[in-house]
Amino acid sequence: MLFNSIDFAIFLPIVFILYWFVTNKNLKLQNLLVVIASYVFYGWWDWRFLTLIFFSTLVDYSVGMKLKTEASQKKRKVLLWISILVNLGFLSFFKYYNFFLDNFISAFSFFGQEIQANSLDIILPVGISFYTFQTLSYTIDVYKRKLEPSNDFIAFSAFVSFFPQLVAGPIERAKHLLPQFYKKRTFDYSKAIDGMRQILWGLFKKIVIADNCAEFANQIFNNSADMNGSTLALGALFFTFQIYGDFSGYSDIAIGTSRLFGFNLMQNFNFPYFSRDISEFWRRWHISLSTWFRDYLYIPLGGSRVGTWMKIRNTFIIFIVSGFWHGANWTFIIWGALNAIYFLPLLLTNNNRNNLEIVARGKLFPTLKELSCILLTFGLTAFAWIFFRAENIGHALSYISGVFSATLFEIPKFSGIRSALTTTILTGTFVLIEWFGREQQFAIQNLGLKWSLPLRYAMYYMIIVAIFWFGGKEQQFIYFQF
Amino acid sequence: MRKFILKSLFFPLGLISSYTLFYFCSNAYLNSSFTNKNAIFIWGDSQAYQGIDLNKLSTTIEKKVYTSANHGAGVYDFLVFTEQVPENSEVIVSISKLVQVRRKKNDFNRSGLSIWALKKLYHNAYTTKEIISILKPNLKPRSNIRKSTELYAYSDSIQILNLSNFESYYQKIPSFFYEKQNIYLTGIQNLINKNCKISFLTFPYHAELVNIENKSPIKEKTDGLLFEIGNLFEKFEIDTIKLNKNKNVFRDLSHLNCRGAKDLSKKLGEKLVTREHTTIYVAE
Repeated sequence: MLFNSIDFAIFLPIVFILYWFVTNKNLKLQNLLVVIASYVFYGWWDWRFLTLIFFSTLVDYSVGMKLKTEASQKKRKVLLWISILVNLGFLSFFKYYNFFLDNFISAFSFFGQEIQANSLDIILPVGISFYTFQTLSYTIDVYKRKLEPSNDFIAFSAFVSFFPQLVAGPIERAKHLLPQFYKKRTFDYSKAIDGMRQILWGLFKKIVIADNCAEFANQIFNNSADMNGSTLALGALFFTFQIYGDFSGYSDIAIGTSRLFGFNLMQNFNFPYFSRDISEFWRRWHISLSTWFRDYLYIPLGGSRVGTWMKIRNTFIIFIVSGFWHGANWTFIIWGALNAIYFLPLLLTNNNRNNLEIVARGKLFPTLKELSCILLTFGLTAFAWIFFRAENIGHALSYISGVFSATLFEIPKFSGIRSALTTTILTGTFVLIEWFGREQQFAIQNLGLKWSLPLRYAMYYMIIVAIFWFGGKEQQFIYFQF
Repeated sequence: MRKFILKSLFFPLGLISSYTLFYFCSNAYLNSSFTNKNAIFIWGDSQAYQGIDLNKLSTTIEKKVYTSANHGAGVYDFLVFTEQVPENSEVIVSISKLVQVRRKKNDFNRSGLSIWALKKLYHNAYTTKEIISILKPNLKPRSNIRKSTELYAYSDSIQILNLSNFESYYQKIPSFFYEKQNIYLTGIQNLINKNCKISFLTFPYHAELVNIENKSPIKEKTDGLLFEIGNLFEKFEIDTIKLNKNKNVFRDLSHLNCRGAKDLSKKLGEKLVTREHTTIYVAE
């Protein structure tokens, strides 16, 4: 079920009413409702894959229970590996099987050996990368005795399948989300209103910014061979805003929806395009995934408290794995490696933790130096997105050579320039609102709170009208494919 | 919780009522800059948009000419047009054969909000999902009646594009075919009820397309619409407009170029001035 669909607009109030009015007196029943609602939400797309979620839940719950009683370290390790192999096994099969097979065949044919193998027609289960990582965090934390294993199967199932963040995150840690299912939730008016505002802003980001930018990004990337340099550069910029609006919009809706049900999810995006360097960008972009890799991969590998070569190795590993997590394509791996290259100079010169605070805190505008750093970081990020969006490495390279050609200074040419101008104005307005709201959890969190009711409502109405008037052609959420 | 529920109910009510007020005021404003005194209104799809030279027609009939013709105009656009056009107006309607067979989702259907038109679609087998997809882009007020269009430049040769598309359209009668025809008839009946003086215009196809059409089982059905239209009127005529064939008049298989448009507009205008009954003009 899509957040920006009529189905969800009907589904959400029904679940809300049942949650707060019918099942509110019994915590177990309330958690069971969350599980049922989550399975309906997911099954709306394809009910067959519910068995995968259920099996993952069952395995991790059982492993957790066994880990609780098992004293032998050797057996505990075996249990951990069972969970890892089952979860990553599903992920590898559905997401990476054809990729490995194709590359295997290519590698053999490179050395003159032709092998016959048929790739499978596999459907990628929506959100598999997200819930796999979420359940893995549970088993690893239980194994490391950082978390008490759950002995409430329904609460645990609700944690794994919690519908607001099931298919595209934020990837919650068991330590943070699971205990919320054990406690009785009480309705908090201000939290719910805050959630509604965040949902509204998320919808604006997705429908107005991302969907409109997608129209031009798709057109330019799909016909890149016929476009001049300036158009290609513009296409990269459109995609840069599309992916941010799309993914952070989804996260906003997920966090806002959770707040309606009394849950707190972690912040997933913290105004990443206002970052002054790449390390700051990675502290602000897809935070739940970056911190997941930091805690469960980078630190176990030794992190940055090792020698220079190991630091370089670890950085490349984490960025390349992060790229590969996004999809079974070399473009994602190159995208990850490119970010590692951006990041390494900062790490090796101990400048990776220079910008921990949000830029220009308490000030209206950034300094010239800050602005140049922001623009440079933004440019590097937009450049890297070309690999992320391209169909294959050849496409990315020809796209980049097209950008850096003499035609870069020509007037952009593509169909729908007038609506592109409208999209540019909307995106510009959006960037301004984000800038002025950058010290909050989401841009409009505090906007208009001190205004009179009619004025505040007028602002909400304007955002809703903008969603209907300027909403682009409905596009699938990009991160569903991951 | 009570406060939240109350606000959740009042918020959309406030939104709907204030937006409805705003919508109808701005829509009325946007579509009020014309009068039906000494004027003629045109409705059609891209054939009419590209195929009628408004200036030429206006000079010939010595009347103002307004058009609601649009690329891909569909059934919903037609119903909204029949609703917006003032009573006792003079109207030219061009329901092309292609709009009858074109897939529903390919219809433009963006002429603003009309509950009446949406209801008519619902009663003619449009699903709730299809109606919502039509409703969404129509929430924005828009001006539907224009005073100018753009014509295709003259060229000695024609562009033959997507011949296979036409062939696929003409292969078999689509499931929605009769519903679409029924909606067009409903719109025409609405114009009759508003005492409008109606003329119908059929644009010519290039020989290549006529060939495809002649082999198709659909031709008989699309031609049949003309007779059904005729049945709505007491006195009804079919007249032909012969275009000058000295030079190429087509831009592509189904659209006239500026030369064809000017020729057609002049000859149509001359016939309109002298006509007595409701007439279908078939351009050849």
